[in-house]
Amino acid sequence: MQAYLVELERKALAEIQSAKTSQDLEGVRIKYLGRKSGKLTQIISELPTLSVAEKRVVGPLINEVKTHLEQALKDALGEVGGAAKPQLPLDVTAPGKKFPVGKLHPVSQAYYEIIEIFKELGFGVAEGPEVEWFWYAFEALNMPENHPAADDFETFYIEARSSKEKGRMLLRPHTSPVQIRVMEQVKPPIRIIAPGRCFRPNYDASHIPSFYQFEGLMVDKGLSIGNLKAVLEYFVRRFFGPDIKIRLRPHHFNFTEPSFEVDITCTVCKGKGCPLCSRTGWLELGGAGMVHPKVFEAVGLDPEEWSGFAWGWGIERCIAIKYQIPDVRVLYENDLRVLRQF
Amino acid sequence: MLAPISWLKEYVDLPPLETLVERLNQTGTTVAAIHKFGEGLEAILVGEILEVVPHPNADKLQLATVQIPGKKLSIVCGARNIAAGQKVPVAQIGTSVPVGKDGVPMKIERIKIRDIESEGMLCSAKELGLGDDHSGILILDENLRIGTPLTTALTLPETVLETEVTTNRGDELSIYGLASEIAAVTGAKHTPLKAKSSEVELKSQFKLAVRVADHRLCPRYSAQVVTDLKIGPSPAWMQLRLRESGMRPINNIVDVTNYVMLLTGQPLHAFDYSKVTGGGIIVRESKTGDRVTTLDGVTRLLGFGTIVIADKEKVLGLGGVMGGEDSGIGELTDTVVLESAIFNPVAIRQTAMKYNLRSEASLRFERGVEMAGTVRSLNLAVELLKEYAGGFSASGVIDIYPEKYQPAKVTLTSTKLNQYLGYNLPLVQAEAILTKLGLLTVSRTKDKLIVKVPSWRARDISIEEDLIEEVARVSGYDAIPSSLPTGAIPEATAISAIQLIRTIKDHLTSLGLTEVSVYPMVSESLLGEDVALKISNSISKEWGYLRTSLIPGVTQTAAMNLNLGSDPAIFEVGKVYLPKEADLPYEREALAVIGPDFVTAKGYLESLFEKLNLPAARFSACSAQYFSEDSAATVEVGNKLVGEIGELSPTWAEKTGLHRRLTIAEIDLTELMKLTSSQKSFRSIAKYPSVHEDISIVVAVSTPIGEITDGILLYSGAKYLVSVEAFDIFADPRLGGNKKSVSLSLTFQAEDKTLTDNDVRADRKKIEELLKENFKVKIR
Repeated sequence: MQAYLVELERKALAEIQSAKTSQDLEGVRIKYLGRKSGKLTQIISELPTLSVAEKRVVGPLINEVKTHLEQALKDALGEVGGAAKPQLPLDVTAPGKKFPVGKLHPVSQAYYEIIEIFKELGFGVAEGPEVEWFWYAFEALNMPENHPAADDFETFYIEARSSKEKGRMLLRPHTSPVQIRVMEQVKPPIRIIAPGRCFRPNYDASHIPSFYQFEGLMVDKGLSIGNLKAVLEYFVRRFFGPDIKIRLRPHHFNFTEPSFEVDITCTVCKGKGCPLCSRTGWLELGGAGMVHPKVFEAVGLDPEEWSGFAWGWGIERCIAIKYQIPDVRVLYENDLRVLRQF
Repeated sequence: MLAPISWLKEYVDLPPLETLVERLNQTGTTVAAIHKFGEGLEAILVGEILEVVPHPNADKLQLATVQIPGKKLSIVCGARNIAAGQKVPVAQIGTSVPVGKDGVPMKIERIKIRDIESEGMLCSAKELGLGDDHSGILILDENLRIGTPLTTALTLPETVLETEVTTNRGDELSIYGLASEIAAVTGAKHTPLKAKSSEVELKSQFKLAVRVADHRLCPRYSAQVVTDLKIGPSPAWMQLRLRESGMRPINNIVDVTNYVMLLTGQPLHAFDYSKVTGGGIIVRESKTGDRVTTLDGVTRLLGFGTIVIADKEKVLGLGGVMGGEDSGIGELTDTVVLESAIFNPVAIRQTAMKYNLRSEASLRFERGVEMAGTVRSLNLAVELLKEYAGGFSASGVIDIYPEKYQPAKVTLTSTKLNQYLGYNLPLVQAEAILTKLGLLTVSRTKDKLIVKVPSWRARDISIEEDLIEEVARVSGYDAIPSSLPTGAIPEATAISAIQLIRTIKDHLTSLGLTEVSVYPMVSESLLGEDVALKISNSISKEWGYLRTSLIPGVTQTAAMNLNLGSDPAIFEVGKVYLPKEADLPYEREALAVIGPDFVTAKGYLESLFEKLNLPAARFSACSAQYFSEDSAATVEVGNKLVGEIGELSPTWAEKTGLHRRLTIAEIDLTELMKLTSSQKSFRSIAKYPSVHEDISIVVAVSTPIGEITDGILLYSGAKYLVSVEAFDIFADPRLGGNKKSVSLSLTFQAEDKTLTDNDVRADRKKIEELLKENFKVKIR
């Protein structure tokens, strides 16, 4: 009985709360305190049937509930002013109901956008481990043990036992090991991008110790530098804007030959020259090149039969260019006031 | 590399600067900057020091009387290297120098120094912006006329190109190498470098014997003795070249070695012959006990594996990296051993790194120095020493060169060339390009060309693709037409995980949560109880380990945002790294989501599981490392443990700087994704109406509601019951101690009929019985 009374009080109070007009309140009053069939009235009328012990407990409780409800009704009636609440005319300029809006991290947004763009060219997505073996990160990519990129100040190493066959355990400094892992497993033709986390021991306005790259790899017969250009041009137009062009500058990487640095039209001045691009009209985006025959050999593909091209670009770099972010570290400070801008 | 334009011009006809820079950038030699060396020195004049007397009031100062046209100036000077008769740069009152005390331009004013008026300033190289040398006043050529502007005297300002040389192009780390490259890519006229060979000129020869212990470490060692040298400053033009190239003049002998290195790319070293016991030089690997004090004044105890130049008694220097102090050139040196050698790039790199000694020499050896060029550079240096230090060659040229350079022959086929280029370039044009680069034709047929690789490109060119790159970069990448690949599109590899994660992230953002991304490295103090992978060369204590949980990082992010006044409605999806024995770690994809309280965070998870069409999750109270004792639960989906949820414990709140109670859930997405199925099956909507009934019960606070609802569903035996859901849960002291009231919403349905009152009543009775018996509830 006590439980029933407590429950009844909660329900009644809830109804009083949600009542909008004095008529509503009157309805609630009749439902619970009505002279004939009010729920509380009925309990009171059953009181005589209870035992003395029960009466001693329930009696005061009934009084308490009754007092609560009467007081609540009175208060509510005061609020609605004893008359119907005035209905305001619809004001279309008043704010709508607020809903919370969440955002994807800008790096995620770019990550998915990049995947979508390359999907249009038939590129699938591949992934590989972030903690890697030396062999995948360097040796198979035609970078011998003493290559500068494998130095302690270029690559993070893990305190762990080395693998006899695959060398030291490290944090991959680039997504290129995925090239190797894919070519080991999949027969050409291959078209993949491999976006993912990489690590390097740097920390300044344009370098962070953990960052994202997206590797691209295409392997087929008879591929040309022109094919590479076209694929990369397609991407930069879709990602940065239709008037953005690319330029290849000769460069050197061990795992590609020929190798290039890819520049894009400065997104601010559109190539006219401005402080951002040091008045050159171009911004450096990242490296690319034709797959080196030694890389094909490392994965057991015949370089005379297959040709390929690859690139590995920083996602944060793309974002920094696209949104003109002077210091990429801001992306990982995770200040919601920043993240919600994207 | 810094390349003064006037120096380049001695070896190649240069196009206008802008054209040159553009062409170099196009062809792979990046011009990082164009410096104007010695700008703003028009007002500085050449003066002659007539007299130097001590400053009457200061020990460290001197008073110089300096002649400039029509005037004698009395100038107070702190440098000790001045003397009567010298020509020096004078900044008069009212003029200014580019680099003052604070590194910014400074105006010269009439001032008194220790009561003596100074009528101007004598300038150091640093003050004039001509390098970092501040050890004394810049002493000029004595033949200069008094009053000549410094810009005229030194032909300033000089334009200096700063190039970025890729690791494969060690040959471009020299003026001559860069000039050759410029000639090849612009087609400009090229003047070859000439050097006279210098035979013994003294009857009384100096003995020089060289033994190379390991030819892999030192494939070529050329040396010669030069005697009768007079140490002094090198000529002004040479000093200027060195300064323009970023080096500091020392004395005529050292300057000559550096000058030749800058010109040819061949590092040279001069040892004081008197310090080489018995004239015998040994090139060997270091052994235990070897020690040497290098030119930077540091005494180094050497381990194994360093290339040393030694005599039979002691180490003279670190080969190819830095010479020894003891065997270095001193004021009394009159005879030197001039060394022009090739050292193993890998060994040099390791030595330079091991002793943290990077020099202009080690940089060049690391990139690879031309095998064939040692003697030419030696000849050039000897020639210059004779001219500017008055010496004679006093030995023949020693040249230990057991394996002569054999030019590799590389084939270029028009098939492959045209495939890479995507257009047809006649082979003769490719041949012309290669010839200019020094890759001379051995043979040529209609569609095949064989060239030999010159020694300065030996480390860089060995396969056909290398030749294609040479042809392509010179003929221009802009000329290559873009064309999308036409081959068949391969079947995409499975990307379901990426798609699922995206669905998860999108769902959480639609609930109003924002995704954060935290570096996956954590400090030791944030590791908790888990074993984690340690980064051996971390750059900060904060980033010493790979995380094993997202919770610490996400909590820190929440705490930071709370401090900034943002509501931390956040989640993160990322990897955690769980070490494995003798293998790469297990990289588990994880989700962490934060809610202001348990119910909200739990609700996020439940809605996510529903979105993924997963069965309802089971939450069971537990204790876990990150959470408060009485507010943690395991999360199970389909009987698989997929995560934990709880209120962050005070210990962890303190560690992460959190000042508010928050609930965090961490979910193992790798496991969760295994439970999702892309195979969705269609279930038709029931034809017959369902019946809803509520039961209100009072039960002990300690009885988990989940157990009650599960109990009803699984064990009541109610025939038509399809779901039970708890709602309106509350405690009230009036219910009696330790009791709570719970309402249960029951849904009954049959697939084959409309339920009758009796059907429902029978089921309800069973449920009530179960509740009374198993959960000791009071039903109202």
